[in-house]
Amino acid sequence: MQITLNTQKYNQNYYAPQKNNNKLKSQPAFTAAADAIIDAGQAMADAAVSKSKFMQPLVDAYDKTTDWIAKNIFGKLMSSSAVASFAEKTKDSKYIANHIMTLGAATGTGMYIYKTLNLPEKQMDKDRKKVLALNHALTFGVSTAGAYLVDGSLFNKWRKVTQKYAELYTGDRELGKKIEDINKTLKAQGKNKIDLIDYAADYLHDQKLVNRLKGMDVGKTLLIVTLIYRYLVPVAVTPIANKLGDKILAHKKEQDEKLEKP
Amino acid sequence: MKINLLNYNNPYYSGGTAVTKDPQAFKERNYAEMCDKKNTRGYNVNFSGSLPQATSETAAKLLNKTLGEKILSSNTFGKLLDYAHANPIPCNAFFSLVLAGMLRPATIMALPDKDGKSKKDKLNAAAHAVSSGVIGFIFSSAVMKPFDNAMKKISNDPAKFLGKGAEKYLGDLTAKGLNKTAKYRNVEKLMKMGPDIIIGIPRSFITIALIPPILKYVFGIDPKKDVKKEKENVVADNTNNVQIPNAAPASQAFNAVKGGVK
Repeated sequence: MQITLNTQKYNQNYYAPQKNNNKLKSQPAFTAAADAIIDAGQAMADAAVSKSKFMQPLVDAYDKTTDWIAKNIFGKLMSSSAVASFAEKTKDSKYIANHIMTLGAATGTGMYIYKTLNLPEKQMDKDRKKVLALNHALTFGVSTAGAYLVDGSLFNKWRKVTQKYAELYTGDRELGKKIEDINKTLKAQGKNKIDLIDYAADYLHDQKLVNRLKGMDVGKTLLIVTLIYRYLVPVAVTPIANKLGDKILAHKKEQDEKLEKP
Repeated sequence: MKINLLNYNNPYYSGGTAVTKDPQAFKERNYAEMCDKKNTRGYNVNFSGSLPQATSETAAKLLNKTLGEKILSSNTFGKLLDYAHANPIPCNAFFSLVLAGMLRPATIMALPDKDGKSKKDKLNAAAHAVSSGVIGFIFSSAVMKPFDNAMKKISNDPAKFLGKGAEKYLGDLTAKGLNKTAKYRNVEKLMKMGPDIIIGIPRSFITIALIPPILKYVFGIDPKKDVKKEKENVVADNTNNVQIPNAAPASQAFNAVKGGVK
């Protein structure tokens, strides 16, 4: 397929109304002024951050703080035997992000259940508290199961999407085939296979692409978990859990009335 | 003015044009074979505005992008991936802001009313969802910023911040491409997303504490006022029920006047 783009303008005044032409004439002066303002603003912002006597100590303090965190918190944690053991045990796991988010949700849910069960009797009666705690637990259980199920079922599809993204990013439609060929050679040599991130790092030497491919992996999990925990389950499951709770309460009330009558 | 416009648009008055004076030249300049590198026929291909064959094929592929491909290759999507990789907890809070702070209130408000009271409940629930989404995003972004920057520093220079303990499971810390290994990727996820388990507890407390003032000053809903009014209604109902001996029967008009929100 051949495309010919004719950039030659034979008579540009013929189709252009006079009004537009006047606009074009006046544009450069405005653009120049706007550019000058933007440049001046940018220069001022740069100066404020890099040279300002007021900002510089803050920038330095922030830099020192992040250095301290990197050295004393993350550095020590990552050098600990517990993290070493974690790294060894999870080296083949593809669901680390899910596990961490589930742990975070479990802590949050646990706190809510604890707070609900310890509410004063004036604010909520004992049975209502139990029903609400059950609601929390049920929501957490359904959300967690749903998140793992959806994430697992989308694993292969998302890998294809990630590959498509890498192809579009590099402009190389044969990227997948190239990796397959490399893997065949590596397999014949008895070496480990490579994935997209390995290819981007070792063959393309593109750290930006490496980071973005990692972002594809984490971003998918974040989106699925958030969608299920924060939208689908609260909207769909909470009314069901509330109805279930109401039925339990009504049943208990009936039983209490029966006990009181004789 | 009208005459000027006519003169302006008339090719005979606005100077010579290749189209009218030399139609053959126009034909040849735009001839399809001009794209062929082998057959330039004395003309400069680039000058004619035509693209070389390989470039035109790439251009055709780019023009034939599907909607999904357009999204994947967009600048916004790329920035979102960078954000998800560098700041996973704030990214999660951002998704929560969109889903729980915007989509959920919209869904809640779109649900049909069962009675008058449920509309008020829906408004409260929607306001709560927006408040928690906004507070969660601001809190997560502010707290996690220095931690995420610290992790970025480690990824850029692991040898500077990590100790011998990390060397045992990661290997040579000065090696190129260390941050793309499976072990490093999983430990990086743990370090970046793990703090959510800890900050999730104060975040939920702050969210709960700040919801009433946000409801009051942003959404104009005062829960305390509502509770007071409800109490006043109860008191008013009780006073209406008081039987005064020898008193005239209560008028229907006075019975209809009751305070509070209906």
